[in-house]
Amino acid sequence: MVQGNRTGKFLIAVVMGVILLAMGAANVIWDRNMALGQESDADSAVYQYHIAMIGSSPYDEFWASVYEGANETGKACGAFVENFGQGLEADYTVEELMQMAIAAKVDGIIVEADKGDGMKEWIDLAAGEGIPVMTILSDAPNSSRISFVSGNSYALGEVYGSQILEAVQERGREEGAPKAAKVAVLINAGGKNSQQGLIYSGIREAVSASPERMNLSTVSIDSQGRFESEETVRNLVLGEERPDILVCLSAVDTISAYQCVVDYNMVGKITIIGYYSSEETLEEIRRGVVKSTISINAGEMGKTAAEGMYDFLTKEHVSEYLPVASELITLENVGSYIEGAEKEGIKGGRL
Amino acid sequence: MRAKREASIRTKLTEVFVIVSFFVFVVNIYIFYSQNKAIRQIDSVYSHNIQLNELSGTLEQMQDALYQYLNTKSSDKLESYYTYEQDYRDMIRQLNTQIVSEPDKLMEKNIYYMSEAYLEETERAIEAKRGRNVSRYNEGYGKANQIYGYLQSCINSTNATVFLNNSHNYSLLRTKLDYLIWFSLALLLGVMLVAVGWIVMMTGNIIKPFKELADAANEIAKGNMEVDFPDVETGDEISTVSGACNKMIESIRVYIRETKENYERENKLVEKELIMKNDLKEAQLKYLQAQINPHFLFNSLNAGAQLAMMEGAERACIFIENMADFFRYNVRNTDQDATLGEELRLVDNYIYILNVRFAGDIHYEKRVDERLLHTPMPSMIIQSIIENAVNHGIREMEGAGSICLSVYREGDFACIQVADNGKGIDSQVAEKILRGESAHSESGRDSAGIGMDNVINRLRRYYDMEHVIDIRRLEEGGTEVRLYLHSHNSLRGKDCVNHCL
Repeated sequence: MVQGNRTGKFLIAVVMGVILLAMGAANVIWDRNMALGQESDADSAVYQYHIAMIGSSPYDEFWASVYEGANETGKACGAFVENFGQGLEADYTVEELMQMAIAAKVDGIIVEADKGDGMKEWIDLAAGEGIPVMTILSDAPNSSRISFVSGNSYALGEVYGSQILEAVQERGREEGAPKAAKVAVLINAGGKNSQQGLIYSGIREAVSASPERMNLSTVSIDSQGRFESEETVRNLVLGEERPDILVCLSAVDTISAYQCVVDYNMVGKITIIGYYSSEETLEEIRRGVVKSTISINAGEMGKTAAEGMYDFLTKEHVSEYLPVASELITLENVGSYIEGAEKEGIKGGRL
Repeated sequence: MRAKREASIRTKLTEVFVIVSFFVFVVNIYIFYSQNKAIRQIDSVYSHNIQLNELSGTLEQMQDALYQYLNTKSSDKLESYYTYEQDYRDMIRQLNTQIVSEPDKLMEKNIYYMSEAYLEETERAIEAKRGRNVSRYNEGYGKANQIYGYLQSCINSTNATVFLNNSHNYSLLRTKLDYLIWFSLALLLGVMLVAVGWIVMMTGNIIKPFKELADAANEIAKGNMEVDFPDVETGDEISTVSGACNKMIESIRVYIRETKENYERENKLVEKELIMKNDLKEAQLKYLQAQINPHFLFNSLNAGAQLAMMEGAERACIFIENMADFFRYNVRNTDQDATLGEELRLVDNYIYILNVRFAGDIHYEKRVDERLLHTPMPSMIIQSIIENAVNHGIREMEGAGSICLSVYREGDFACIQVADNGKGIDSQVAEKILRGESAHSESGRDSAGIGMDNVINRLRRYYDMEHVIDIRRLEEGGTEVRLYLHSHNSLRGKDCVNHCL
C-alpha cells in the first residue's frame, strides 16, 4: 500500500508539473504571438539620411518603380528615401509637399518639378534652409537645384520619330491607304512638362525629312483631371479625325490608348507607339496591339537619383545632369523584357 | 515490525488539502495574471491612437489660442497658448525622431520637425504681434496656419494607419483572449481532475485499512475468533487502533482458553467425586450382599418351615413362613412397583412376626376396600409406616398397643390410614418429618431400614405431587398417618369413613 501511495504521489507530481509547464509554455507562446501581432514588415535599422522623394503622381506605376529603385539604393548606402505624401489621406500638390518636406527638415529632396515659378521659389527656399534639392524627370531650370536626373528627352524624341516613320511606311504599303497618315501625339496639358516638349521637338526633327507623308499633330491631355486620359483617347479614337498613328508619351496614356483601341475594335487601324514597359504594355506588344514602346529604366533612374543625392550629402558635389539611357521595345525583343519583368516582378518596370 | 509513527490522518488530510489548495491558488493566480495581461494589452492597443488624438487636439487648441491672441491680444489667450504649447512640446518629445523605414515612425519624425517649424513660426508671429508689426504677424500666422494644416493632415493620416493596424491587432488579441479563456478552462479542468484524483486516492488509502478492520471485526462478530485484525503500517491512528484490536483479540482468546480449561478441570473433579461416591455405594452394597445371600436365607427359612411342619410344630412353621415371605418381599428392588394388596400382605407378615416376638402385644386391625387392592404403588411404604407406629408409638406405652389400618377411597385417591394408640407424635416432630428434615432416625437398629423421609420422597416422586401424606396426633391418644395414592378406578362421592375403633 505504501508503495502504491508513492507511485500515486509521483504521478500526481508529474501531472502537476505538466500543468505548470503548459502554463509556462502558454505564457511564452502568448508573448511571442503578441510580438508578431505588432510587427510590421519594416526593418528596425536606423538610417543616417532622410531623403524625401516627391512626384507629381505618387501612385503612378512608373513613379513607383523610380521610387523603388531609389529606395533600394538609398537603403544600401544608409539613407532612407521616403515616398513623400504617399501615406497622407489628403492630396497635396508637389509644391505643398515641398513645403511640408522643408518644414519636416529632411536631409534632401528629390522632386519631379514643373516649370512654374512656385517650384523655383520652393527649391530656393529649401536651399536656403540647407536642404539640397534634386529634380527628376522634369527640371526646374534656373533654380538652385543641385542636379537633374532624366532620360535624354531629345534623343528619345528622335527614337519616337523613327518609329513613326517606320509605321507610316508600313501603312503606305497597305492598299487604299491615304497619302498622308494622321499622327497624333498625346502630350500632357499646358506644355508645362518640358520633357514632353523636348521629346516632341525630337519627333518633329526626326520626321521633318518627309513631312508630306503625314499630318503630325499634338493632342493635349489635361493632367489635372483624374480620368482625363481615358476620356481624351476615347474621344480621339471615335472622333472624325481618327489618327492612324497614336503616340503616347506617358504610361497611363499608353494603357488608355490600347484599351480603347481594343474596346472599339480598332486593332490594325490605329498604330500605337507607347511609353514605359508596364507588364500590360509588353503583353500588348506581344499581341501586336501596340507597335512599340520606348522605356527609360525607372529603377535605374531612381537609383541614379539616390546615388547622386547621397554623393552630394556626403561629398557636397554632384554632376548637374544625370542622364538615364532609354530603350526601344518592339515585337522582336519584347520576349526578353517579358521574361525580365516576370523575374523581377513589377518592381523592375522600365520606361 | 511496526512502522514508525509518521503522520496522523489529520496531518495527511491537511497535507492533501493544503497542497491541492495551493496548486489551485497558483493556477488561479496564473490565469488571473494572463487575463490581466491580455486585457492590459488590449487596453494599450489604441493608446497610440489616443496619444495622436491628444496631440491633434492640443495642436488645434494651441492654433485656436494663437488665432484668438492675434485677433484680440488677450493675455488670457496668450497664457492658454503657452499652456498648450508646453503640453504640445511634452507630447512631441515622445515621438520618434530617428530615420527608420517604418512609415508610421518616419511620419512621427516628420511631425516632430514640422511641429518645431510650426512653433518657430507661431513664436515669430507672437513676437510680431507684441511689436505690433501687422504685416509680419500676418505672414507668420499664414505660414503657421499652413504648417498647421499639414501637421493635422499628417497626424490624421498616421492616426488612420495606426488605427487600421491596431484594429488588426485588436481583433488578433480578441481571438487570443478567447483562446486564453479556453486554455484557462482546460487548465482549471485539469487541476480539478488532479485534485479530485488525488483526494480520492488519499482518502481511499486512509479508508482502506478501516475497511479491512471492519471486515475483520465482522468476521469476529460472526464467531470466528481465529481471525486476526490486519497489520496496518500507515503509522497513523489506524495503526494504533489495529494494534489495540489485535492485542484485545489476543487477550480475549487467552481468556476464553483459560475459562475453558477451568471448566474442564472442574468437570473432571465433579466426575471424580461422583465416581468415588458411586464406588463407595457399590462397595457398601457389595458388602451387604456379601453378608447375607437372601436366596440362601429364604431357602433356609423354607427348609426351617418344612422341618417344623414335619416335627408337628405348626406355629413355628407359620412363623418361619411369614419370615420367609417378609424377607422375600424385602429383598425385592425397592424401585419396582408393587400393588396395594401386596403391601398389605407384607404388613400382615410383619405384624405376625412382631406379635410372635412381642408375645401378641400388638392388636392389629384392618378394614380394606377390596376394590383398591390392585392400586399400584411404590413398595415398602406401608410396612415403614407400621414400623414407625410400632417403634415410636406402641413400644414405649403401657398396656396393649393397637394399630388400625383402613384403606378406602377418597375422591380420586385411595386413602391409606394407619392409626395407633401410642403416645402420640409431637406436632413439631410431625412438621419436621413432613418437611423431610428427619434423618435416618434410629435406622439400622431393629428396623427394616427405611426412614420416613425416604417413604415421603418416594411417594412424592412417584405420584408427582406434594401432598401425599398427613401426620397428626389423635385427640384420644396415638398418631394417625394418612397416605394418598392416585387411584385410577375412581369412586366419587364417597366420603372418607373413619374405620378406626
